[in-house]
Amino acid sequence: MGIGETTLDTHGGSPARRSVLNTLLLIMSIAWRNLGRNRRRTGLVASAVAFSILLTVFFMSLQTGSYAVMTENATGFLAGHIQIQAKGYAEEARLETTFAGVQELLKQVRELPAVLAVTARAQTYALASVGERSVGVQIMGVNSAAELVLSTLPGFVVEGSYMGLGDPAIKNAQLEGSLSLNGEPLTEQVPAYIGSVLARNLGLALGEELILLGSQKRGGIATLVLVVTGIFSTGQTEVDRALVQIPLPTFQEIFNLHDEAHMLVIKGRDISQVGLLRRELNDKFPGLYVQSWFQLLPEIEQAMALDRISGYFFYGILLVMVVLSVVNTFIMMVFERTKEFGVLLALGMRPWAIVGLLQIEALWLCLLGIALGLVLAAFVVFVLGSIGIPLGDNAELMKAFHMPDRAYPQFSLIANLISPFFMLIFIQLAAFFSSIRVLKMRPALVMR
Amino acid sequence: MDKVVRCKGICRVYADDAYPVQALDNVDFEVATGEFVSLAGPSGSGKSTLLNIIGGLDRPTSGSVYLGDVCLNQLDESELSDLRLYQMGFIFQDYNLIPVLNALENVEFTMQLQGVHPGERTERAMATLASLNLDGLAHRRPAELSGGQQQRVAIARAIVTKPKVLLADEPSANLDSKSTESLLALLRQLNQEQGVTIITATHDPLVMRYAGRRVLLVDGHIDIDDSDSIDNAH
Ligand SMILES: Nc1ncnc2c1ncn2[C@@H]1O[C@H](COP(=O)(O)OP(=O)(O)OP(=O)(O)O)[C@@H](O)[C@H]1O
Ligand SMILES: [Mg+2]
Repeated sequence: MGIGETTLDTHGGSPARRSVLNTLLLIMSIAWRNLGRNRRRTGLVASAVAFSILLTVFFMSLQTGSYAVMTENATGFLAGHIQIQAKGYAEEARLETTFAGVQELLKQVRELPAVLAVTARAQTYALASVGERSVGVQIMGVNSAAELVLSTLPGFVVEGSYMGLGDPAIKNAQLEGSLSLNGEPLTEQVPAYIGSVLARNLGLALGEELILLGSQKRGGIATLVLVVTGIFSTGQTEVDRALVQIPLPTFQEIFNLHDEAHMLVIKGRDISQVGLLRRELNDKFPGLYVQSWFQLLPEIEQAMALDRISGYFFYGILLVMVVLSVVNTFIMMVFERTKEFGVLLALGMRPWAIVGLLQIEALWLCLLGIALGLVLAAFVVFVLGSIGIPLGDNAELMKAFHMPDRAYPQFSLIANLISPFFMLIFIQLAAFFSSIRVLKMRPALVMR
Repeated sequence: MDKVVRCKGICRVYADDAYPVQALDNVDFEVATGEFVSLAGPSGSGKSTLLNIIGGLDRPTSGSVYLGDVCLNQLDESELSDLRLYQMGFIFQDYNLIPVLNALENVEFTMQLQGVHPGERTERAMATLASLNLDGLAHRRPAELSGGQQQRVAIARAIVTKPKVLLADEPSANLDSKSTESLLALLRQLNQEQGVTIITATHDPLVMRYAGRRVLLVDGHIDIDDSDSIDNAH
């Protein structure tokens, strides 16, 4: 028995045989074909969607790329991904606020799988003098071999070498952990890595000596003669004017720190997992204070947050513009096709199915535009990601914020998901609000 | 006699313009199962309006419409859609085929909405097309068909679901006399062999000649109804 015969007996109700799936398949195929009916309109809407997807994905990738470089540069300079300090040192950086058992701590941290490198540093302020001239400096005791892995500062050398690393006598003395020879302190051989502005202010050249004067942890006076073995220029004036790096053992010796330091600087294997590592360290060393680069370099995080917000603002405006043009097109389209909808209603399509038809047409359109936009964006991001985009010569400002001089857009999953997602949602809403008038249509009145 | 359509006291006032138009004025009208009725009358007499109200495409301002036992006044838009889908077939003056679907798909369209299985759907659609001598044109889109061919596809679409009532508003207005003759022969065959109830609005004397019952509308009310020819219907 045919369906038609059975249904002839049902009186106006909705027979169970009417299948949502069937209707869905039907309207999906009709919707798809309708896109081909007005190619110009389809092309216009799809390319508007594609263009805005291209723009947002590209700029978001650019942001992602520059943030990655920015954090890598910023954390790699001195701060590291994570620092462990004695409690209270973050509030007030006093020489006395140290933690002890440095060697043991280093060993324990190094064993963690998430840790790529770790080193200890001690630092304080001292007076550096050459002849009559004296200036205040920040003196930092470092393990030069570890710094080479952890910090980009050694790479900013403009004269000499980093901590006399080319010099075998100094290297041996450092490896032994002390700079004394036959019980006599080898003071005149202590290498110093100093900033270019400091060198100029003190009139220092490579191989010349400067005298350091500071106060020890337990009250005494620390004096030390340093030999300039390397001069760096980072472009950041405060650093170039004030920083002096010397070997950590020497620092500990003259400032009277016994196996003590102010910080462990840690580089993780994956900077995006820094929060996890911080928590792990926090649990492991409850007596110490563990900070990640978010806390260490708040200005970087703030700069990125600001940039992100202005980015969102831009994407928002772009989205609104595209959505408005799509809404406009849709309202025009529903208007133009009023008679066609009347016919579909007359043939027995339910009003909601027609709203669904328009939703699906919008979906196809949107997917078409998104696919096009993503392909274009992937291409642009790939090409520019390998050659980079020059950012111009605003060097001082860039360096201050650890900005690279070239931007490399980086593939970002979020970027590829977020704008298509919003585009889909908003265009579906647009389609919905321009098509609900179909619900109130009386076929006879719209078919005339 | 079993009445399939019953209209009682139908008024339809179009009030959306500056002044209201009374298109139907207290019309009582019944159609028995198996009748072939033609609605005639001058332009603006309310033929289309009455047909639309019977088909659930429009609602009366007052009065009630029944299809069988179902009162159309009480159905919402979706229920009216269902009613049209399962119980009505429409043939329009300008065919109104779906342009993106070919002839076969157009005929399958309503069956697909009904949820008929694809195999059965195609079989029934092809059989119907063949009965209208359209099987060679099954894969042409409407734009590739002549007016007469399009109207035959529209008829195939209207009858393939075996509706209770077939409503045709000026079905021959865009056809030449030869196409009109074959259309009418077809309608008569449907009416006599399959017992399909047909109501058509027309200006065309030829159509009126084929109909078993002629109703004349003037100024929104029924002027002449030669109901005595009901017996011709079967
Ligand atoms: N949607 C509408 N809005 C306003 N007035 C309408 C509407 N539809 C029909 N009318 C008016 O109602 C009256 C009856 O119209 P209807 O279309 O039913 O006439 P008809 O007999 O079918 O005429 P024709 O032979 O020209 O098709 C006419 O005066 C017409 O102008
Ligand atoms: Mg008319």
